[in-house]
Amino acid sequence: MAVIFGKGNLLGMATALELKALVKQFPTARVVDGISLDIPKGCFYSLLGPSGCGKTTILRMIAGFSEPDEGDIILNGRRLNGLRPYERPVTTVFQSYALFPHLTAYENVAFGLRRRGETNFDKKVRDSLAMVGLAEKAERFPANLSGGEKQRTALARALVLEPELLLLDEPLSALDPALRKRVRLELKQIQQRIGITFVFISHDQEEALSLSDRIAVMNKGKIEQIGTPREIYLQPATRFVAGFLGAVNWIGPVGVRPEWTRIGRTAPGDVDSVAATVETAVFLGDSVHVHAKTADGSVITAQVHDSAVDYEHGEQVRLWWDKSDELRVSQ
Amino acid sequence: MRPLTWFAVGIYAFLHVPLLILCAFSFNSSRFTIWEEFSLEWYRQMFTDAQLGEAALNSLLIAAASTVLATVIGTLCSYGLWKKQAKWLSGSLYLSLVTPEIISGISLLAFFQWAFRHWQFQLGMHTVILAHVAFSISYVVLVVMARLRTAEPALEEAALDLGANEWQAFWLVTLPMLRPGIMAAALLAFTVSFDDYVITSLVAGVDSETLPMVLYAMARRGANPVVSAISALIFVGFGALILISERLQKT
Repeated sequence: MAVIFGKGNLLGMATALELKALVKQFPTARVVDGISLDIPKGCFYSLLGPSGCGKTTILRMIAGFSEPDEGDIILNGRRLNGLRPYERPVTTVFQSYALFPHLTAYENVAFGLRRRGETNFDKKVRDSLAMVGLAEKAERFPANLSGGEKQRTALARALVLEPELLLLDEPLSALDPALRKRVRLELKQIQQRIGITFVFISHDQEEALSLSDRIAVMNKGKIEQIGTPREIYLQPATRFVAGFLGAVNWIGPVGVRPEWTRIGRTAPGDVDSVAATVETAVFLGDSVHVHAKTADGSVITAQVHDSAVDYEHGEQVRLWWDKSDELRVSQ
Repeated sequence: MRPLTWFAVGIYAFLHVPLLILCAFSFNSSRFTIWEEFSLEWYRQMFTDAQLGEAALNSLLIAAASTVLATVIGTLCSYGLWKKQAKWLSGSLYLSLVTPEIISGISLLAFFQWAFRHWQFQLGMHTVILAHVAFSISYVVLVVMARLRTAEPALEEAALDLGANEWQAFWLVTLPMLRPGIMAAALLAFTVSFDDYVITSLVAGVDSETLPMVLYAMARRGANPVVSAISALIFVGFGALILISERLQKT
């Protein structure tokens, strides 16, 4: 099914989670400052922002570990405020995984089913472990699982309860970079297969961009922008969003990403270009980053995709770009 | 051998040679510290001495009762302190660890006299057990807290998240995770209770003489190889207990 993302809701999809004017005041700061969100059913939704932006506090309020000072949390039409964590149809994959060290992978996954008083859960547990590729490691204790296996056990443990909403608190941050990319792909595939609404917390823009159907970019307890990954990357609403999602060259109020910035010893005759002096050219294998200083002292980076290109320090160059690639931000 | 090795050997000798000498002389047929010949006479006397047997039984009863009480109370106490992050309260608990025993003993005696003033007050097993519970709790808290400090705070939240209520989260997740620490704490509580002399002698009654009290009295009357025999036996017993607990903690 082709899903078209618009400015509003996902087309034809009902709202799963609704946050209404959520506020959380800590002694020193208002960490969540009037957050309102609509998260569509079956959506992979990311809250993206730097540490301290309030995203973890929102997650904890949805899970029930913390109560909002103001505002409502509504899941599929039911108000969750005041319910204990075990009364909410929500499960969490913790950043540290929080696997019970004295229980095997199997018993970790069975824990929630046992609490519900289910007795015929063996098939559910085995299926759940098989889904994350851990059928063979069911009898291992967490201490004998690798980082990636722990992460997948935590995922199986949360998903086996078929929650209405799955919360993921930076679940990939403890993995090494190579593994992280692979697990990222698996996570996306699992979410698409089972169709449960995922709310994913991250400070890693690449992670959020590659996984999400929609992203809410947060800063200082407020939402800066909500949109699809393409929208927030290509049309950032604010300077903060533009800068948080990727590198930007600021030429006055206009922003241009390095990958859209062209560089040459001469510019094509029909375009406006900026004169600059090369500071350094950094070779990155698949591309070259050329940092050049303009007459007003600002440094502009151009990403050159032809790795053979090289520039000397002090060389005079011209920089230009398409008007349509300029980022127009509000502040 | 290198100087550091000599240093280590010296320290170990200083720590253990006196105990080895004690053990050796408990098998000596002479009363005095001059070796004559191998004998089990002092062990025979030890096992037939009624006063010693009663004192040993008292000591074991007191240690068992105070260990159970202090371990339960101390574990719950450290759990509460950990949950509430009460730094001042947990700091003040350690105060009783650095209070000189004689002061603890006198204050406990005064407390019992005051608290029981309206009843027929008598010192006995109960006062000894209460006193031992009082000083053992801080040892238990010390050990259990050390374990809690390295625990992952998200574990209980994970349990709640998966449908356990607060009680189940504690019982099914936190307590099993703490088990090695609790066992180590219980062992420590048992040890400090079993060998306490100063506080015990102040709050004990006529019917509640403990092994250390009897040993002390015997030792004061002059060199007595029976004392050596008992000491050797206690030393071996506790050594075995510690080895077992180490083995248990590894599994």
